[in-house]
Amino acid sequence: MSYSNPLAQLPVLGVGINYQKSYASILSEHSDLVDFLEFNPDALCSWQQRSGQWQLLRNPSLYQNFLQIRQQLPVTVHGLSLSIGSASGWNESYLAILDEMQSEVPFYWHSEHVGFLDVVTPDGEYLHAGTQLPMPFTYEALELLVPRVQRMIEHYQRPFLLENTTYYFPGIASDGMDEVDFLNALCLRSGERCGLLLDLYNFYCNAENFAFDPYTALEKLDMSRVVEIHIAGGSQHKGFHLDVHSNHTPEPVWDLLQWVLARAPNVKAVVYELLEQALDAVTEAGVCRNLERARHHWNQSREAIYNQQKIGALA
Amino acid sequence: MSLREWQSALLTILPDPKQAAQILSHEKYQLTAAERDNLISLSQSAGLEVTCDVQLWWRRARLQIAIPFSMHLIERLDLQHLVALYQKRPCTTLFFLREAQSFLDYIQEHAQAPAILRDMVNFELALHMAKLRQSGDASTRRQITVLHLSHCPETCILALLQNDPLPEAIEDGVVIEISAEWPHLWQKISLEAPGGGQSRLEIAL
Repeated sequence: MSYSNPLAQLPVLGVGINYQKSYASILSEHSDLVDFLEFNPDALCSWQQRSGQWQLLRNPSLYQNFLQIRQQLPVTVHGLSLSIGSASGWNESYLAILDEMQSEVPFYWHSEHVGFLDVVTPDGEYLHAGTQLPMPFTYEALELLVPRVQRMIEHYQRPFLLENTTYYFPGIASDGMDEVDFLNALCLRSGERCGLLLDLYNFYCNAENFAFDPYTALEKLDMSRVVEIHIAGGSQHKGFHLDVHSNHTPEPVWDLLQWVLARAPNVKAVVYELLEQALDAVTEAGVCRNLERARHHWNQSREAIYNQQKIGALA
Repeated sequence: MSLREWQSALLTILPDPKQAAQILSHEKYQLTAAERDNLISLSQSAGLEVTCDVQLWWRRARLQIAIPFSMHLIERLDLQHLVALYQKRPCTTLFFLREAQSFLDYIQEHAQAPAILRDMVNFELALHMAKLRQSGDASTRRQITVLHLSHCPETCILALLQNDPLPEAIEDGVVIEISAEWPHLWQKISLEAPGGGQSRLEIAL
């Protein structure tokens, strides 16, 4: 493990959950299960009309609720609407919101999906995908993304993590790279403060949908870049595994978690992600079971690292 | 094809992939034959159909959050095809109020959208806007939105909740005022007050 690596210097956060206001009772009654919160700045905002113009503004009641529930828990930021891969420009209003929030809610790192949400077409029409769409695995995409990642790192003076996404359609342009090659190249070109948020459920969905072995694919990933891991569950539709965060973590994803934790030296956090609307179906007890199991794997991996370090010191 | 052209083409065909061939034949798409074939083949894939379904679910979920009574009314009136037609228009947002505003713009123009539905969408959206203004400065909070509707929204909501017959249009219409400063956000202005003046009746929603 390289201790000059800035990702290695980040604090160890443990097991967390994505913040939703309806998780208040989980956080108050099971505080021992949650070490930190991951929040989406955009989920605390709404588009509001001011002087006839639509603007992304902080929603005061959602924001106050978050500050109250968050209490003293450490936080990380996970963006949804930066649209870092939009060829016509990213979402500046998201950055303005994050600028506002960063002094009130200091965060250890910031992450966003490797994808795009919207585009202004060459003839000026604004179009939105309504859901994250993947980037092609091309050098043109790298040339667009790398300076933006570097700008995020410089502006906020903390590491920036990129999350792998789920996609369903075939034939994405590739310039000879697959998703893992692309993520490795993106991190390498963006510098040592660029890390990965490895979403194991997303990766599992892609592996199932496109029939590849996730372990063989992950063997190629630069594991020293993985700072955070997402686990989640979803559903199937027309034969595709969907990334909807609406379910318990499936067994193959727990297996992947164990496998990655044993190989990623700089991983600092694991988050169980759940869609707020799915809480009734998963139930609070179900959320707790996912968090407990994540903690079990987390503690096992920390113990193994501790023992390795002890053996190293004795030697 | 540049990345921007690919993203533009993809987002244009996503709401209605079956129209891809027709959409991409437009002269504004400077595509080679191979690029066009590639996009058409993509539009016919099961994976793009699933991506399209995901977009439709999210858009519908946003409407359900923003205008639940209007969506209930749509079901009651068996007008789900209006939502389906609306969703064939390009998506423009990730946020539920903007989605609802965009739906309202659509039904305002749509001849098949009954007045009662326009009234409900207008009313629910205006209430959301007022809630957001509650935390604004004094002048923002004092703003009053005036809606001229043909159905009383309260009667309509009660009819939906109790499964009663929906109300008929009121001949002279109904005027609703909405402000962030009022405890229940809205009040109905009676046009039939004795003495020719306007009496204001505050109604809890």
